Amino acid sequence: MHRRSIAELIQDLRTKKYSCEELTRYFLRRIKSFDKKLNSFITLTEEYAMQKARLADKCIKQDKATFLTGIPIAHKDLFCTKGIKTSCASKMLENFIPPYNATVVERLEQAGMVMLGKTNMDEFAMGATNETSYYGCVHNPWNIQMVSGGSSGGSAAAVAARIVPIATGSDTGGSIRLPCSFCGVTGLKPTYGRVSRFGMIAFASSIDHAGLIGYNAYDVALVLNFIAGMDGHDFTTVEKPVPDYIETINDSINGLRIGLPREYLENLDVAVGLQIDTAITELEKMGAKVQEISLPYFKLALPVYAVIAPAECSSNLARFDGVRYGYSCKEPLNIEDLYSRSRSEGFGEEVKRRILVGTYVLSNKKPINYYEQAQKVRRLITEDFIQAFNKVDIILGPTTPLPAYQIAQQAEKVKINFSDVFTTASNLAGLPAISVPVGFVDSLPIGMQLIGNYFAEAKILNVAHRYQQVTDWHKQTPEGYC
Amino acid sequence: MPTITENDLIKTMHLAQLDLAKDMPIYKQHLADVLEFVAPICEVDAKNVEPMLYIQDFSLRLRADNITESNQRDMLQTSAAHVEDGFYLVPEVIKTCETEN
Repeated sequence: MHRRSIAELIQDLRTKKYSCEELTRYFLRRIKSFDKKLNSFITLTEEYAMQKARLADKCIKQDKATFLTGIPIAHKDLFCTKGIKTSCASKMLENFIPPYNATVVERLEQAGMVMLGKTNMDEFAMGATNETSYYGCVHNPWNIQMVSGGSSGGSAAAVAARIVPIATGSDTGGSIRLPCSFCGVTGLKPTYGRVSRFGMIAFASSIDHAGLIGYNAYDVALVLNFIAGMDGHDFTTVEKPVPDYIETINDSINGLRIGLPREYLENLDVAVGLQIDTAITELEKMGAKVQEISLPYFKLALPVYAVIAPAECSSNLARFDGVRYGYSCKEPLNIEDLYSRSRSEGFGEEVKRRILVGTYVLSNKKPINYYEQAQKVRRLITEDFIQAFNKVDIILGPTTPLPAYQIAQQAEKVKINFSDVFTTASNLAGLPAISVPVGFVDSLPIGMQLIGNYFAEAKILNVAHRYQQVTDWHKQTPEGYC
Repeated sequence: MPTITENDLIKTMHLAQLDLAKDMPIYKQHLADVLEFVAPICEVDAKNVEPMLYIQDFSLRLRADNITESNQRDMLQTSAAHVEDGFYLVPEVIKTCETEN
């Protein structure tokens, strides 16, 4: 069952090959068997899952099922789940039980999906390796000495190991796409405003995106149909109608104009470049036309992110003060001690570093107003993309400059900081982007990124799916998980 | 590029409500490293560029001024460390004559 895509599992359930209860039990067994090595889950919701699975079987019997009824899913542990611990992989929220569901969770519950548990992540989504989690790092199923990537590392590793067929993730600077590249799975970050952020514990509100990680683009499209769309609880969601992402997924890509930014190719690792070239050849065989484009401000995306993300996180995390929820220090001497010790003891090092940077840039406006300048350069980066989309339909490049690296590789922090180099700009611009596996480098997966114009999720899913129809990188399973 | 002084860091820590005094040199260096990393954006001539405050061109949606939520105080306070009679409890903030004596 674990090798079946969601589309195939749906077919199996409808033809009564097995029940939802059997399917859920099967994946729960796999999680218990394999997750000791991966550490991809923080909370397993076994009883809840079985209850939902039995309900799903009843719905199918009574002909009240939706397309996704009975399909198992895991949620990244920053999506609020009513009555179920949501920790953000932090000591600060170790005992936090939300009183409501995030919109993404609620819509998928209404669709009848069966939540298996909450996946591990970098603390408060801050990190690119999934090593900052209070619950320990996530291991890459392709090589457990290697990082899974982050911050949605638990979701990506779980899907790659086939212990869950699909999972939610969040992406602020690359946190869906990067771990997908490292783990050899498919991940989509939609357009900003396409999917509600209500109930998604905030990191940087103007660049946080909710998204999906699955075996392939078709499965991601199936589930996106249910989570996309305006939400009255999130005023940044857009009223634009949601298309059926499956309707156009098999469209021909003959004549598709693909842009390859010359800035992406500068100093690109030869082995990674080779995999991207091979992927481009496959797309060209289907009639796509590749042309070189330029994104002149591309190199400033990481510095802009390094101002905006901490600034916004320092504001969002100000709410954690030990009073209304979250970790509260013992025997505070006074109110200031309550706040500062609760926060200093409750947050991990990376989170504290980012809050400090964010607070500094927001409180020091002379001689440089960092936040304002960063938002101006952000507009220039965005305009580069808008100009490019006058000439091309999608933009293609590697998702990450290199494959996964060793856990605890402290000495090479510089390499780690640059892992987001290709992903961050599309967060700043709010453009949709997908990562699909395109091969292996040093026996580790590597991904290709497709960036679309605003609300062009259907187009990038179409291209990703057509690519996956002629290749089988997305079908590869790590040894030991087959 | 501005130099980070110890006073800058103390002020920032106070604003951030973080007690990082024992690792001051480490955080001071980290802040300096970040400012060096972001320095290139300060060199861009963006005088005539509008800051990108919103990704989408939209305005706030309005809704009818009707009450849609119920009073769920007790349920919402179950996450708090210390509550009493519907109040969140914190260490004494304002000293009275009684408490000072």
